[in-house]
Amino acid sequence: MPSFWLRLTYGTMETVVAFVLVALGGLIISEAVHLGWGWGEQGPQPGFFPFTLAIIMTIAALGVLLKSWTTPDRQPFFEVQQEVVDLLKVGIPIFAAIVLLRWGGLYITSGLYLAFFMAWYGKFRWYEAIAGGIALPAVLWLVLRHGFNIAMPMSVFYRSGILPF
Amino acid sequence: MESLDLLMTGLEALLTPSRIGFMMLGVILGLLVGVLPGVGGTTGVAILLPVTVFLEPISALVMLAGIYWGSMYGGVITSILFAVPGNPWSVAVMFDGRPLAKQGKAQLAMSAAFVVSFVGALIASVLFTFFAVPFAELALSFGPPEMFAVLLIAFGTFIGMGGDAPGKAAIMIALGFLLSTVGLDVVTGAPRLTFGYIELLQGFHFVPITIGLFGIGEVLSNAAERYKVQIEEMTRAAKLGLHDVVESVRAVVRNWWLVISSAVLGFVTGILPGAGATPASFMAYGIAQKTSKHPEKFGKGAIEGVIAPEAANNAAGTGSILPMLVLGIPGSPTAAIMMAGVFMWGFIPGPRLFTEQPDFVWGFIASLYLSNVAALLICLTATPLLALMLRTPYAIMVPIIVVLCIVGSYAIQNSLLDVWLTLIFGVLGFILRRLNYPLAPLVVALVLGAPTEEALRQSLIMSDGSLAIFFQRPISMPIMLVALLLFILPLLQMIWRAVRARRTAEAAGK
Repeated sequence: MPSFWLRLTYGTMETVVAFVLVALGGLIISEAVHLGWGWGEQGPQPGFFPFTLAIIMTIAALGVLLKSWTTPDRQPFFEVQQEVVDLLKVGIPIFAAIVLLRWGGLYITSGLYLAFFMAWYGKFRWYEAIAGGIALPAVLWLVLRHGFNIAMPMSVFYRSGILPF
Repeated sequence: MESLDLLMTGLEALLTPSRIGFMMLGVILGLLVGVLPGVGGTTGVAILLPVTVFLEPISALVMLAGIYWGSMYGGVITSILFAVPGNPWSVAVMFDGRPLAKQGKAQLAMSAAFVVSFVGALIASVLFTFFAVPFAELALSFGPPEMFAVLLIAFGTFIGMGGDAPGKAAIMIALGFLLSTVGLDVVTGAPRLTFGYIELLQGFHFVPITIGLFGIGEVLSNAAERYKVQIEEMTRAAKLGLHDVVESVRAVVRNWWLVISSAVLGFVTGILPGAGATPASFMAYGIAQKTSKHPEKFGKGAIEGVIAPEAANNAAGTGSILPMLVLGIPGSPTAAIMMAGVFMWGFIPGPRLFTEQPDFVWGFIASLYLSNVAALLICLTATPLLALMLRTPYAIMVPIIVVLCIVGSYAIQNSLLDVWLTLIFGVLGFILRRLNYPLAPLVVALVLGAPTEEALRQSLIMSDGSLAIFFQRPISMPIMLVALLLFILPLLQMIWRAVRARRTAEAAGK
């Protein structure tokens, strides 16, 4: 697995991104034609702007695609394995936290996330991590709920009435 | 001068302990609101409006206004320190403010932003005091064609931003525009580019996207680069003390013309109904880059890139209140909410307010000056503490920033979908940044895309499909010409450079 990441070159990434953009552009153009891409009696039809913009984007993306296909940049996208490792170590907890939001609500999730990250990534001691995991939700709670009364996602415990958050 | 006398009476009315107290309270609340990402000044004013029912009118108005001004200062902080824009109008300052922070100059960037915000607001306040009526009448004669022309200028100022990869910049602008068209069509009401998904009917709000591109994208980029350099080390260079404040004042004075022109631009933009601090900040940034001697430095930590948008957005915020008070036409969403407050307290905004309630109006205008002074002092003293925040250990910083991003995205429309959008654009932002796609044009196109298209189509409805309307109206015509010039100029520059290169080559050959 790691060697795959390290063999990824800038050229490959450029090509992939440009290809996605071209595909997206094509999709939008077909949708825009649906909506009407011409100039009606009262000015542009709804599809006019998406059409022209998608044309511009697709042509430019084709240009990038062509360039990266013919003269690919062979520099590796990730220089060392440590890059990928760090990225995943930071990115996956973020992903997990957002998935958890629906059930944990903002306050519980943020507390768990901070405590976990402090202990696991930052190598803080367990009681420091717990302290952080309580402090952050407490501050958020005071400011968002009591202070400005801004609605935030609530946990399943809240919805079933067990806990106030 | 009569205006000055009236200002003095206003100041007198303001200078009671309770009114000053409420003003300060408003400023502090505004700073807090501005720091919270996603919760802009508008939300803060809206939330605290009911509280003001219990206050007497002058206190209520200066408190609400204090919240608004405070939020204009506060938004700078999260933009520069964490690359998480606290408000829509704090996005532009992030482009150069964040690189400055990474170079250890966070304090300099923040001080400069605060100082120039103050100067911009001050200039706008002076214009407000003496030219209230003529400017308000100007706002009245603005219709969709004029609006479109102004927004076209905003785009024109960004055309030169392509730098070394104009093709990629074009892709980003087109993509930003396309994102702004998703949702219900403004004129026909038909859903556009939703591909049958109900969730897409509400369209893409630019705040979650921007928070994702810059906030999460920044977090991921930092994570990937940690093996190279420890971020905490870089920020140790932030010295505490007056040094940076003095340096920032010097930077502002050096660029005095930029400050004044950005402030005037911001003020005029703010007066226009519909436009506000956000387009003003982008326009000022674009013009600053175009007229700078070192345009390539923008985006990498040019102090002009911090000065221009901050002067403009504070001036615009001040200007947007003007048509509300003078004509009863709110120049921005926040002004609209404040207008609701004015009604609530028993007054009717409009020309008669000036003559019938001079204490109220001029007390408010006096508070413009005072609350800005208060905000500036509070901010400057807090800057060292804020810069200290950058020294927090990485493992604590990252979750806090991510949580701030989540809060900011969710707060906009109470939608978990927006939070996912933030994450998706965070990953995209990381990839695009690495591949040298400029992100700023995407954001500008996204923010300004919908109002521009709306203005264009409204104008065309007015003229039954003829494009000539832009050139037939006395105000929009000169603006259109300037806009078109801004578009053509880079082209001419390229041709000129090519011709000169040819000539020097020929001369060398002889």
